Amino acid sequence: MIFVLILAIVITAIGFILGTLLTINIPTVYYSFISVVLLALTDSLLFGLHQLREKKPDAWKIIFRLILELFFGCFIIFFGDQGGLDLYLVAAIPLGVSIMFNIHVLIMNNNSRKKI
Amino acid sequence: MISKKENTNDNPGTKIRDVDYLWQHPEIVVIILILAFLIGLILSLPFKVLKEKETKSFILGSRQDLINQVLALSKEKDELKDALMKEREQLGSLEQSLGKKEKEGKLLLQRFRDASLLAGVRAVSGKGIILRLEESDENIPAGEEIAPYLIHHEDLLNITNELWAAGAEAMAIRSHETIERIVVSTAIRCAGPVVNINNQPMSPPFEILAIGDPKGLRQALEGPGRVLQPLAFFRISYSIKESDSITLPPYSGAISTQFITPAEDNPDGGDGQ
Repeated sequence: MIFVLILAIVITAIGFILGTLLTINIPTVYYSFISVVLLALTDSLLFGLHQLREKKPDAWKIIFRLILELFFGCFIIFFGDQGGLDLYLVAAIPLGVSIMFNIHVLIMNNNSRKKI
Repeated sequence: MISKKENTNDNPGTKIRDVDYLWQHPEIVVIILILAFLIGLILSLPFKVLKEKETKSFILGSRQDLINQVLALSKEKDELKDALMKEREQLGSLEQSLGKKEKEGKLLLQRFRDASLLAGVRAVSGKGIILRLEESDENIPAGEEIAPYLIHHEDLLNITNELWAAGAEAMAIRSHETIERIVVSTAIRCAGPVVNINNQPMSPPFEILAIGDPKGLRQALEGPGRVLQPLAFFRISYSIKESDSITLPPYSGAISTQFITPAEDNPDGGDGQ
């Protein structure tokens, strides 16, 4: 578990470095979409770690969760843009709550394991 | 497959067992690592924006450098304007000498004068009106938007449009010490707190000087449903002064043509034919 976590951090760092080196330019108008994508990715990653910790891994669940979050998050923002409403927070808050929940579960499991 | 012993939380297991367990589910590890990579890529985006900003500020230099650049450019612009006016004066003296020479020369001179009169590159005078627009000094009622109480470029555009329609033959807009002649290429644009007229920043109070029939011009602006009525509602004060002699300066900017040519030079005609 720790091994995967460290590997994930290293890969994130590699992605970050590559991202700064590559010339990918995304218009700032899409930044609300990008932030929801970031939250969805983080949530799915933590969910994957959570599954590993629980030793109930299911790759399809992670992929399905990610697609669902991306779809609904982007749909809410797009729908808000069309109607002239800033619905970004409506999409971001549930994802934030979900991330916090996953972190909480990971920490709690870790503590309960130590007690045993 | 995972053994029953490994698949329970009751068994804390060793690090070796954890690694073994991971090897049994490589797809989860791959997914997690792909997600981590994508997160890293996305996280780099704001830093790239910051980096670009830093690069731009490095190129442009400090605020003081920018001010110096603006001052130097405006000085250069003034010098170029003076040079242009001198060139036009020289052109005027050439016109005079041409008019003295021959009959054809006189005719040519007359046509040139008419054209320059209409183009606005010659100072003109005649009777007309002076419309003064001023924003209110009074406090705006609490909770109301300030925008309608200000003079906008649309107001100047509407007024000049009405004046042209009412038969104005020449126009200029004055603001403080600056006066700009309205010519065919004049653009009246909003530039934040000021209005750019012929790319010259101008601020209220504005004076619109128009040569034409004073009564007709006044009637085109004043009265119910006319262009000045909504301005008066928002406490923008105006006054119209009729004058027998208004002198408008020539257009001081450059007039350059890049694409237009006389139609007779194009015997095939164009899409507009």
